[in-house]
Amino acid sequence: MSIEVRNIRKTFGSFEVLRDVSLRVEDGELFALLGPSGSGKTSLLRIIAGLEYPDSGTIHFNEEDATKAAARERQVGFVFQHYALFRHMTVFENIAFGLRVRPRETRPNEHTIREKVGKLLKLIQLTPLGDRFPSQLSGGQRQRVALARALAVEPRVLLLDEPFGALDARVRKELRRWLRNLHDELHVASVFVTHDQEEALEVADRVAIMQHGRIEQTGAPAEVYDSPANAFVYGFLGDMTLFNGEFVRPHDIEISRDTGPGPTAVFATVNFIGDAGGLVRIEVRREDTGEEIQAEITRERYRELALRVGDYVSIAARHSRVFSS
Amino acid sequence: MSAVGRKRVPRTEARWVRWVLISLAVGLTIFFIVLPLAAVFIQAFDKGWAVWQAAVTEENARKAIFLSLMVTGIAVPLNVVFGLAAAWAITRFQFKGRNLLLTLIDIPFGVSPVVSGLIFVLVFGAQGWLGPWLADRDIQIIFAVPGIVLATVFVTFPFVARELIPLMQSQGSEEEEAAIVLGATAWQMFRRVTLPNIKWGLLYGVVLCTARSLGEFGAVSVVSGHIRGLTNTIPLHVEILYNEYNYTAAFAVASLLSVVAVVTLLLKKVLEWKTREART
Repeated sequence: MSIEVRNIRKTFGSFEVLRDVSLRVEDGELFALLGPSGSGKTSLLRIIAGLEYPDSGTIHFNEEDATKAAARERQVGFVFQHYALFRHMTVFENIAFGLRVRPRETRPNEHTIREKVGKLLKLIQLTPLGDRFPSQLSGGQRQRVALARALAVEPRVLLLDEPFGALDARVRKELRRWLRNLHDELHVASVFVTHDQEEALEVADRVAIMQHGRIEQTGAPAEVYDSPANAFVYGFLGDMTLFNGEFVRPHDIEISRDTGPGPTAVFATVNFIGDAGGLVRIEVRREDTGEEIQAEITRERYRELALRVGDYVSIAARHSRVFSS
Repeated sequence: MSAVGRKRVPRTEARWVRWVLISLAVGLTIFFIVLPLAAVFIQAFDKGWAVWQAAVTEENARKAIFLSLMVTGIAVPLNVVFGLAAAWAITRFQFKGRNLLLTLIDIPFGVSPVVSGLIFVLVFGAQGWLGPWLADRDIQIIFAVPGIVLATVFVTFPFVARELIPLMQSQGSEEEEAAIVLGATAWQMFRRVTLPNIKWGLLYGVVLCTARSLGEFGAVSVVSGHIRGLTNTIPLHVEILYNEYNYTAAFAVASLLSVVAVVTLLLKKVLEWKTREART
């Protein structure tokens, strides 16, 4: 089912959280809301779920106006940032909750519930842990239970608030891939909120980048990365450094030992070398302006240049960008 | 308790200072609390089991016990409802006057019970604001059971709310939101998610509220009128017996209240432990 948000505005007291936000998520799409904290992305997600109401603007599910529908009528699956599992219920009962609270006419019988929860436990690979309580699970396991609980009601759309925010780096990467595969299997329109650009670009079909309650740009990961709409998007999607008043990615800065004079040559001294990781991070200081510039070069190139702190080098930018403000 | 797993506190005081402080604390507790409590029971059974039994089953005593139980039976459920509503409003909504409401809930703790009683006399008494209006309709509140109920509700008002507010604050509302998104109605959310999470805290509040309702003297004394067999609660009955130099009977009835106190203390300990578990 498609989700459409039209001209949403929301204020909390005198603070404008969302200023005229519009976006469309197609059926079966995995969509990321990316932005720094305070950009309004979680508020937007909560408005889609019906946990908050907008001051103005409308929400449409499959072209049908759902702005005034209560949260419980919207049939959305919501995964909370801190999971919000029911602490006094077992994993099994947590997942079964959405089925048990249905009105009597549509409530499945005990046998169907058991079968369904069993399937979901299998899907999240936690079959043996159905009798445990949330407090006895690891962060990654709780996350999966929260997802299974949301899926049990067969939601028309799935909403996830910082789904990997509270997990450590390794579990995060695993779950990320798992979520992508799961999404491809279920094919339900999903929106997730994140402040991690790597996560958004790797997992999502499309991304909306938000700042100060506005959407700065929407597009496929490659699209927004390669042709950012403005300096904020450019800076938020990757590291950047300023060179001759233009924005450059650190890996687009070229360093060479060739310090002969030339019309466009810029000379600099090496300030700092960070050589842990796939790329080597070099910080140089320009001779003429004293500006500090960040560069990233491959390990191969680093060995070739045999750079040391204090070395005198020339620098140039392969690609740079100018944004009109 | 074993020494293992206990946090060692760095000690700077000399050994004798520690011993003096500990003996002082234990000594004072025994002198001011344990001995008087023991004295109540010793006095109560001074003339034997039969006299004790006669004192607590005598007609006026029975009526006082019945009245106390009835008043408690009305006051506690009312305060459970008020307490839940107040705690819910304060922890789940942001509204103007939220802090004022928090302060108002605490007033009964700050005001002397006698003043609480006088407030009701001033409002509902024969010379009070609503006195003539009530008299015209033949409704008696002061020197009657309704007054006793009102005074008791007032005095015990904060117990449930005060216990629930910090608990519900620390638990947050995310689980309730999760229940709603999963399709639960407000009532299903309350019964299946909120109530199980706060049940130990709620019970703790109920125990304190019950103990105070049974034992309340000051406020009730002002509004009751001390009519034997009609508007006397257990504490008031004890006072009357005592003033009539009927010590053994006074202590016999008082021993009932003391048992309530000891049971309350035990329940309180168990529930404190349970609530701490629920909070994590």
